[in-house]
Amino acid sequence: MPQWPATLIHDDQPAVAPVFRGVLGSFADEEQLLAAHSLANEARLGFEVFMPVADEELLRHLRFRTEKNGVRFWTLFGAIGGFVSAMALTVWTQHNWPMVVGGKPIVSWPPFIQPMFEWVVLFASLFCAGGFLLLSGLPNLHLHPAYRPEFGVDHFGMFIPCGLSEAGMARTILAQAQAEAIFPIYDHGLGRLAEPTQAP
Amino acid sequence: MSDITIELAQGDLDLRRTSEEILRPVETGPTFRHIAGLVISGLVTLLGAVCWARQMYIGMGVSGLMWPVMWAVYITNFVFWIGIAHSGTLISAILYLFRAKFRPAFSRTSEAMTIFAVLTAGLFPIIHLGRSWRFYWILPYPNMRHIWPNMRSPLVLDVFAVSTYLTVSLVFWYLGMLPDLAELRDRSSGWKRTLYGVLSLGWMGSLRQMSPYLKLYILLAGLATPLVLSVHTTVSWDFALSLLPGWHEEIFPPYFVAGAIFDGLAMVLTLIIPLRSWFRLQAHVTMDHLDALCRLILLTSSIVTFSYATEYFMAWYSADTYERSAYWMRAFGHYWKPFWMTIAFNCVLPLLFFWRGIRRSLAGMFIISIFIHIGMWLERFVLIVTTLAYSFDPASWGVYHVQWIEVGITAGSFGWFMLQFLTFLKVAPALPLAEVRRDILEARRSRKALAAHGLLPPSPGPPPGPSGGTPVAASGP
Repeated sequence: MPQWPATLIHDDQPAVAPVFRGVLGSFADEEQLLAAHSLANEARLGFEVFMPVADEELLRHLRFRTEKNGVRFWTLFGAIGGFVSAMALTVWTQHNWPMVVGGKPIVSWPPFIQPMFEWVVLFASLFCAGGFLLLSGLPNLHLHPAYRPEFGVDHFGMFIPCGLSEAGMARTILAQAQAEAIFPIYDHGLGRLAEPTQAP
Repeated sequence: MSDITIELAQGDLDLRRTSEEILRPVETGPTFRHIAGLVISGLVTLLGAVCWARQMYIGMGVSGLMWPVMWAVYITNFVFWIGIAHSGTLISAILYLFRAKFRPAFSRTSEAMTIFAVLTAGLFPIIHLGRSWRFYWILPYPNMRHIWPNMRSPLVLDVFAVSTYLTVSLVFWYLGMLPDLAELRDRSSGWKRTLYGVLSLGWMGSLRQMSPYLKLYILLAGLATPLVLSVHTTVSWDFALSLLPGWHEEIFPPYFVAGAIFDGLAMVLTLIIPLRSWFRLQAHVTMDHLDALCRLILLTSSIVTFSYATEYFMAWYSADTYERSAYWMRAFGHYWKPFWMTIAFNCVLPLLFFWRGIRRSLAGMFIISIFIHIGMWLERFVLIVTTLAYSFDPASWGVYHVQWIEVGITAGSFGWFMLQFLTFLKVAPALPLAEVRRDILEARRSRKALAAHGLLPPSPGPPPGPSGGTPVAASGP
């Protein structure tokens, strides 16, 4: 049994003035996570959730509206940019090298539609990926101090950021929701990838 | 087997054991079979490279290309590999949009297949150029002579289509792998941890990441689907925009797309059947999954057959002498053998999938899939070569003979494809682990709902897994 609050996520790393960040609960089942979510909301506590699955239903239960994020706007901007770029490329290059082929006009719209379509998809996809990375804070090689390897496999995590004065309440909430394990989270500010505390 | 059965069966799977089973091939050293596969693929690739080098050194005369047949095996290979590539992203994207339950069993393999097949297909126009080192002339790049590519040419449009397809497929494939790469990061140590740490970009599965991720995935799937259709449509324009009998046809775009999906599905079968056995993935790629794939092959085979029939009907109905002649010579000219083999392998043989026993026989499925590859390769060969060999004027007819150097380069392309695929299997999991997990959780939910209505015995629930952490402490901070 570890000594509370000495157990740290980075317990194999040299301690550099650790700062208390909050309390983490680990859940074996999504229903327990949802219970913790309700309790944390009732207590008006902020939280971060870690989950091993990309599941819309779970996000909906967590009242996280997936349709309300900026990725689609990034995609739209990319699509418009791709369309304009391809139109400019095709029209300008054919004017710059005005070669008549098969009696067709220099600006032949029907075949130009194809590069326009391709670049709409290309730019939209790249902007979509760029928007995703920006909105999700990636790439980021500094893992969240509360992240644990089992959250990528079969457990759900809820981290309640708080000061030492609120830690008791946070711990009670997580315990009420039947968290399988509860951890105090300290940030060592190591500035690099944290090693997992235990093999998964 | 219905989606519901597939779904419910997954509810029995344990998440942690599933991770271990799917990641085992990546985490353990290569087996003898894997090394043997790599060595053989490498040697065959080397053979192809030597043949290509010889062709560049001596000249295009070493190939069988001779007037009037100036497009033959290399363009056949290009269309064949683009066709294989074509279906990978389509399978993954369309099945995602339709929420098909059997998708995770095939999506990662088919996406990887897409990337490697495009990288293989892209070589063939360059090989066909002869002076391969000047391939960049087709790209629109600023130069002192102010010469730009002709944007009305389907060959230039092909460059746009294939390069866009490769880029978008890579993005779709890579970002879809982020959760799996993160799991590999968490499970590894040393240089592997650094490598997977960089590749996973810091993925943690947090709410902040999940919400944009889900949006990204559905948007990319939505963008990739019409893109896939456009790529093979553009490839078909290479032929359809000419004025030659047998090529100048409006049916080509859907006909090419259907043929590509048909062959691509068969390639997924060819790859996944040995894979599930060698990597012991039978619990995740079940006979029900393979059965569903065979049904799709049956459907696309019937579309291909209908396209063949339409081509012949239109040639007859057009009352055009040249069109009728082209199709007559295709079936009864010099290339009658590959033509009838095409019909047998693409239209007749897949009908065996009507029998459940064949859809449940690994050997049967594997053999049929190989014959479908042969049939689809021959289809493209017959389509390309017979039209050029028997065009308008009988005085300009001529027969093409395949040369050994073309055979070597073709074999090399298969070696190159397999070399990439076998290497991939040791770097990333062959199944999308995050999606398999989601399906397991969904299956558990369905079971609970059915059990609540008394339609199923109560679920045993998730097995108690190690949280990898410390239990609740008694004392507070």
